[in-house]
Amino acid sequence: MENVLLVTQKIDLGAWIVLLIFVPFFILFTLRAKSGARFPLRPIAAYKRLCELVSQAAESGHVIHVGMGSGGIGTPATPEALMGLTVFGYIARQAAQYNQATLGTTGDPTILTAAQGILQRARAEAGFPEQYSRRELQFYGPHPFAYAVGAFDSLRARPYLANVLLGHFGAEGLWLAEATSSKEMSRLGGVAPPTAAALMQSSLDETVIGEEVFAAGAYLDKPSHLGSLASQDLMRIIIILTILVGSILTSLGYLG
Amino acid sequence: MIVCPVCQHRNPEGAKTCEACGASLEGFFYRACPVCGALNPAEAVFCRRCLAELIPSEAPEEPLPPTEAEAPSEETASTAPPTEKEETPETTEEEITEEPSVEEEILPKPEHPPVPVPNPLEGLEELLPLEAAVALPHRAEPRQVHFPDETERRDAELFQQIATEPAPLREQARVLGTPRTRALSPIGRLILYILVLLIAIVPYFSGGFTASWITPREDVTTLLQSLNSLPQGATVLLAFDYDPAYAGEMNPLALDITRQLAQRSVHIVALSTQPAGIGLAEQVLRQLSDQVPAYRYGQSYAILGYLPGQEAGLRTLNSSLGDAFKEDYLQRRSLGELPVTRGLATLADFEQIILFADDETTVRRWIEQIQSRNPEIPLHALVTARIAPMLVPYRQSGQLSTLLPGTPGAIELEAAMGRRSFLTWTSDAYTALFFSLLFIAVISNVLYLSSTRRVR
Amino acid sequence: MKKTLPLIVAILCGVLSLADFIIPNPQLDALGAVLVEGVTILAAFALLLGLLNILGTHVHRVATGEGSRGLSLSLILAMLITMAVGIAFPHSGTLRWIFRYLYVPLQSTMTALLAFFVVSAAYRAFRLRNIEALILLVTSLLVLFTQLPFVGAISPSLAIIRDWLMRVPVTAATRGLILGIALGTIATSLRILLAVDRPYTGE
Repeated sequence: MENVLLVTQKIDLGAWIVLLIFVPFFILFTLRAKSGARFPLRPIAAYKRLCELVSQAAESGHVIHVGMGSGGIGTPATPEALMGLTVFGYIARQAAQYNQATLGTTGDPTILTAAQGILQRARAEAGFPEQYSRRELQFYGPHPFAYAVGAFDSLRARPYLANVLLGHFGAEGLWLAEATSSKEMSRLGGVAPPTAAALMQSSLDETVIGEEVFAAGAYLDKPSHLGSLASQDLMRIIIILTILVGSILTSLGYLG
Repeated sequence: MIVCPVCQHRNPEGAKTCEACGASLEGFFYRACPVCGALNPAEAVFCRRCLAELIPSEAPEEPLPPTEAEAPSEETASTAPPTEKEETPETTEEEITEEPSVEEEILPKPEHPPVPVPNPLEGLEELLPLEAAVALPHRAEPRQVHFPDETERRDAELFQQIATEPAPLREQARVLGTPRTRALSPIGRLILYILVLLIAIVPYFSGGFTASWITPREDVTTLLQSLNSLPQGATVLLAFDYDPAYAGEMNPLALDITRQLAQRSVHIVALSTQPAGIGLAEQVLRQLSDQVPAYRYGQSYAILGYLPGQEAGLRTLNSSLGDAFKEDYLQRRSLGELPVTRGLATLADFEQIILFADDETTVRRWIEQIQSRNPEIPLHALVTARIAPMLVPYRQSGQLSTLLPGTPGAIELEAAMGRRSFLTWTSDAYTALFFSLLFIAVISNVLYLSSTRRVR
Repeated sequence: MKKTLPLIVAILCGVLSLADFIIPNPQLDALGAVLVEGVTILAAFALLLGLLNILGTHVHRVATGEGSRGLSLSLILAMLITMAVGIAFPHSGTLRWIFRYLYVPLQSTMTALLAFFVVSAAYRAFRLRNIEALILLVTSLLVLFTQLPFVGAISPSLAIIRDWLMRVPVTAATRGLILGIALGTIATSLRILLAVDRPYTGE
């Protein structure tokens, strides 16, 4: 019994509370989303534009560059890196369907391997497995700046319809954003850390920042993401209410 | 018409509930094309598949049987009986005459009126008993009403936008393109770059004319006081968690701090949670050793090495230092053998932790894994100026004892320590940068406003 | 089975790591440590694959003459030399020399080049296209001015403004963003943990 008490004292209470509230809502909303329920989404210009660009690419046959950043699976930037993969998957599937080329660049080898699998699968599903080429995915080195320089070079070498940067970027995001600033192409981006977002927002046409990055799937082609997005929003409302109630109680002197 | 999502009954325009099953139709506003059956967004004027008009008053009122909805239009034209074949072109023709201004832009008007396709089986009734079967209208599986997802809906909207806007294609492309601000010309870019270069070399010529006015911020004085309060022989843990990319900003700051510690005979134990960080620790501490010869490796300072595993790695530091590091980095000796690390068992044996970092995640990790479990040990974060604003909440909550941004912090620290070096002169570059940006803002707007006026 | 087994392994590893994080238990800690070690090893393998990818690309370029042959050749040579020295003599002066006189200056140069990009991005961002651009311009100039190291000497109230800007508006916005990112991260992680989403497979 003493041991149990000792353990409960050491338990990270905050983490437990968040998980205990979040998980049931997450499951509930995800099941609802899977059964066809629709949750209204506020328009996010960058994602709207991305969808338009994909259609435009299908019509014109131009290539969209997707920069997935330098975050990898297993690093603290895993969620952002996975969102980069989601966006790449979306664009790769569309490109595969119209048997068009695409270009994905990454600064992390784990993302490279995953993206290769995604592209291969997309090409096979579209009925053109022989069109899969490793050269459509480029890895320039495991360091953010090595990645930025490599991608910078290849972005300047060819004309692209759009330069889409979504994933984990640090200061090197500005390199990639500026690489195409003098060219007539659409430049979209998404990055969670505010420090990188500030740099990229000053350069790109449309940017998603912070948590909007994690909503990419819901806005593109994954209805299953809608559930998690709804639970996320509910959680946010709970947090806002907690902060409000907390500050009122503190001001009234109830919470010390 | 509105297709019920539940029973697929086709309801008249404007219906709020389904006539057949009573399900609510609010929010379901996809309109089935009266000609080919494709679903279109509510606002669509033309069908996205066959371009037939969707406006209810002009569309045929009676719903088509669902079997025809599935058949693609070309197939209908070639295999359906003659009565139906004639119906389709007629409808199209009507629309074209009704809305010529819009339609003409999208589809060129056919030069000849559509010719009725002759029945290929005519005159062969006697020869081919299959005629009856072939001539039957094609019956596909009843169409499962596919509810368009977000992407399809957007595609439909996009198509509608293209179809309804009577602008030429090139104009369309411009509408689709973001209203971009004009890119900088190569010469403009060159001028800006030369300006940046000039700012960078300002301190080499200015002689530090702003240096004497430097006033250290509160955290600089707090940090100095905290370092000066350390007793002789105390040990401080230094984490070199920054990338060589930021060595230019962080190394001078690290050297200042270590020098201050060395002068007070405080011991330093260094580690890094980044592979390249350890090389930087070695570089800075060797430089220190050169400047303060009495401060020797093993006696006064030691480098433990690279600590892998991020969160999990830092957690092992909490339990025991020996678990995290078996031996030191440079001499490969066990921690018990080195005089400086001999008495160190856990984090509690360190007086303070000083963290040099270039990434807010790293600082957050140290706060979550180390500071929250050892709140009695002061944690100072000396970070690149880029990430400093993101860490202010932690400084305010007291989880960080001090927070110093890279170069500005180093400049003010040197000023507070009474040193006058080249670093303090970079204060002049900051001043030049401010005035240059002011200048850039003015020029940028003058050019921008004059160009927009010209366009108007 | 080919699909289910990896999924089960993925979910199991995720749940174990989560349990290790929120439940302080020595057995779980040990298991967590094994998993972290596993991730490190896997990442090393992925790195090896990545290196082979780079090597393959540049060998192809050298062989076919596509792109700049000289640059590709120097990349291959630099890579092989650094790897050979690092593996054979990890504590040698040569490696230290490479680190100190090649790696650090090159990386620092990359960072320094950002200054050029920041200025050219600022040039565009400062154009007063709308009210947001005006706010951006005024705020950036104000923050930049109050950050000057000698601003306290001009007027102590400027230093107070600088601290207030950092303490109130910046902290408020940062807290909001950090909370949002945390929620997004939890949601993404739960999607992966509960196999709602498998972005790594392209499904």
